[in-house]
Amino acid sequence: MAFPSIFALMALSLAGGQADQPRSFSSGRALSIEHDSLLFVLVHGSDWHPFGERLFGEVWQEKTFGEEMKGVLADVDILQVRDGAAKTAADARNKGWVKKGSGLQTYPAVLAYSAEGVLVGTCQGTDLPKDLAAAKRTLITFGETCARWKVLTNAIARASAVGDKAAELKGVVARATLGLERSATLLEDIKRLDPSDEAGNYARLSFPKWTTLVKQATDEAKAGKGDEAEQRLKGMLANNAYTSEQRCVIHLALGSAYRRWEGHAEQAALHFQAAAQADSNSVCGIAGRRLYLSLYGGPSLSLGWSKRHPVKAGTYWVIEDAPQDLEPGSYRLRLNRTRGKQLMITGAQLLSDGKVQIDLVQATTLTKASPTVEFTFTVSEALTKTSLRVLLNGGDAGTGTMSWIE
Amino acid sequence: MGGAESLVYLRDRICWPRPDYVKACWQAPYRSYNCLADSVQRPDYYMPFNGSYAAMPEMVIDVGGVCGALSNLGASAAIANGIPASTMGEPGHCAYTVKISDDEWKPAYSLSWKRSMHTSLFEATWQNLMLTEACFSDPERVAKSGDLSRKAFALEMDGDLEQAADCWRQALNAHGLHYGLWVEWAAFGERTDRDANWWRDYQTALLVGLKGHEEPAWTVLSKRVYPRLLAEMDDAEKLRVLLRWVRNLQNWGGGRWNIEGAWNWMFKQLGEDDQRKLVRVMSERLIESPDFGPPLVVWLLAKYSPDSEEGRDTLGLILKASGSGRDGAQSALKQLARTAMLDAAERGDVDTFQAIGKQASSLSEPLSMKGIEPFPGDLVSAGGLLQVSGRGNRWDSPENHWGILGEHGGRCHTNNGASFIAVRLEHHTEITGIVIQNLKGGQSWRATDSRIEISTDGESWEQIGSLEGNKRFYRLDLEGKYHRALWVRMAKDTNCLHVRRFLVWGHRRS
Repeated sequence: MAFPSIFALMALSLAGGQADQPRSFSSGRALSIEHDSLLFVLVHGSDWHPFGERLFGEVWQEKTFGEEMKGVLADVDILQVRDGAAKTAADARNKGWVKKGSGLQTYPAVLAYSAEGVLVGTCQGTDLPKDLAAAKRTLITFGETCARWKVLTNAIARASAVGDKAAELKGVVARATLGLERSATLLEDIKRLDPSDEAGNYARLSFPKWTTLVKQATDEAKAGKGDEAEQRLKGMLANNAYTSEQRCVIHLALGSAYRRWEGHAEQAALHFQAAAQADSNSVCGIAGRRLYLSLYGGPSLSLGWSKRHPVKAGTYWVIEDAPQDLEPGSYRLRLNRTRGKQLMITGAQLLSDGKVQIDLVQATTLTKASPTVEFTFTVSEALTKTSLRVLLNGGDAGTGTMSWIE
Repeated sequence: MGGAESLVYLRDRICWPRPDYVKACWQAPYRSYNCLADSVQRPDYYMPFNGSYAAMPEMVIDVGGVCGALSNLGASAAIANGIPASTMGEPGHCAYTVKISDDEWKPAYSLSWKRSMHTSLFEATWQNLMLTEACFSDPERVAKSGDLSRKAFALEMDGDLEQAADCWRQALNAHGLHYGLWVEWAAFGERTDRDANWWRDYQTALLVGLKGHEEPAWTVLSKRVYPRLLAEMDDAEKLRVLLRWVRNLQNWGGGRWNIEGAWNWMFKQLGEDDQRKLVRVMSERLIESPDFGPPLVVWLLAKYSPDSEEGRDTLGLILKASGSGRDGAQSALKQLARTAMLDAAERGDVDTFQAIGKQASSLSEPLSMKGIEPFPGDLVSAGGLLQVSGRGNRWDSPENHWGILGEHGGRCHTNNGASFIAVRLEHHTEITGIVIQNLKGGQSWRATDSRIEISTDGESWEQIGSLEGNKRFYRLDLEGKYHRALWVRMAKDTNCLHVRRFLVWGHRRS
């Protein structure tokens, strides 16, 4: 194919210029237009940011780096001094680059632009390692992703030119999932190419930020429009297009709406738990679990016990988030009272599949003077579907913490 | 937000040129309630999200917070990148400060001069921070004075008190800006039960050594020196000692401080007759001072009603200081507005501007609010202050400035040429709308094409709109545009400007 060899030649010619002197934004832009290539701009601060300068000097200006990035390299130097000859010179050199809307969030940053001047993506902050070798590898990967963006953009244009909607749609979606900047017309394009959203792309890609969805539902419920929120969010759940992470957000939003809708505590608890199950390690999944435990669930290792947990004699607490499987070994359950006059405990039990395996009889009263008790479980063989109970003998409602130690 | 993981996160996420950290707090959204409608005042606000993020700052940036979280974020971001910073308490607010250059600390997200540092080497005042900065910028003198103070301690332990006393004097001569050593020297005086003359000499030395740092000087004097020095004096002697301090005042030094507290303290040491003498000397000495005049006038008017003898004396002094030759409370109030209130406005002293402005508003009738529909949120201009370019021009009437900011209505007029009328809001605000009420008449065209600009610090401005056409009321709907500001102004490069009202509505973000 002609394309890769032309590209290689171009990369060589671009890299050839790189070794001589660093290229300003405007000269990089001109070259990028001339060669129809990507432009990578390193934004750094020569008078205040040592790592940025090392990145600039030891990586950015390295001969082979330009070839590896497969594009034009330029830099913008943002000085810390606010006036003087150096500042004037830097401003003149940086002319053509505007900070507002550039995607710059922190320093140093690498911004990628298409030959048309569209921001393709950025690599900065926690995504850019502060070790030179790792930073170089990350930037090369970033360059490859941007190159893929260019290939897809060309493919989308070709498909559009011949009216191949399926190919165009495939390209648009593939480009949107690269993890780079979204096209300004992404949703509009998907709507045009797949009006009925058969593939579910529009649903997935138009999904709002989780805080927005949750706040909207919560505000509606608080305003007495819980049924509207319920209808809309249940409609979303009925759509199989959403990812498990997105479904987790919808459950959290529903749970929050129900929470603020009088008489719907049970539904709130269900949906908070559903959020936790849908995507247990995400922000919304963790929030769902913690909200369930805090507002509706029983005592837990995560949040302890609170005043709403009954302490009647002859009853017991089931610890909500006890480990499900246990290997042989010795384990300690520690309870520590933080508030309340006293809590009387008669013992603790470890169950497996609903059957008591270890029954510890240990009567104790937790008070301000003596707030802690520990139960030691010696497990001789592996257990599955385990649960923990704390046996109660009355006392006062209060608060406390629980921990499980191997 | 000072744990290791927080600092590493912030080092990467917010790594900016040094002066820019004063804006770092705005990386997080200001939300009194999180998206689950839990209040920031309760532990439920962050509880659902604990354990979900790499570090606390990431959570604050995603979930939000109010002034405490935002200021901690801003200060921590600076610190994570090796720039000194600290949070500070202000009335009902948490702000922060960043050392934006080798010798300058700048307040950030700040609303008031009434602040106390959350971290300090000596006292927790802003002025003491300035003094500490000045002191330790000369490490050689710090070392020299430190060596002498250690020698003084050693001499004292050996029982040689007079040599020790002399050594202390030398230590403070070597570096008069060392607050810690002034305190140690006073402690020496207390331990060794020095007499009134000793304390008098101490006062003399302190006033010289800490010249330009009046607030820290006052703290040492009021807490350590005067209780001993004034103890056995009669009122006349006390007055002489206190007036010595009053006459020593030059300017704010490290910044506006609670000098009213000092005046109140002095007042309590004296009987009625000497209180009057104190007030007379203070008035003569300070009323024309652009720094101390405005707060002195407000303090006096709060102490004495305008109808009382002291109140009339105060107004008389204002008139005399103004050289207006006129008579009466009305003239005095006008002069107050033209001098003290404008001084306060220039210095960003909202409280003094408001106090004098409200008084002066009694000189005019309120204007009707007909035709003005409010925007959502609070009328945040009402508790702020106004700055008008071309101070002292013959067309302006400063006694009407305060009314411009609220329902009372007022009037202002800039000088010819490039002009601005700027409002410093009561709080950092997400602006929902602005109404500017034009002057009626043939010159109303002057407002046309004025730029509307906003700023968070009163120094750098961003244009967000303009006034189109020749209208009686200009109404700018900014809801949903997320313009956040502490200052709003109208500005034009070609001619003077004049308005009757400049009203700003919005949601508080501090």
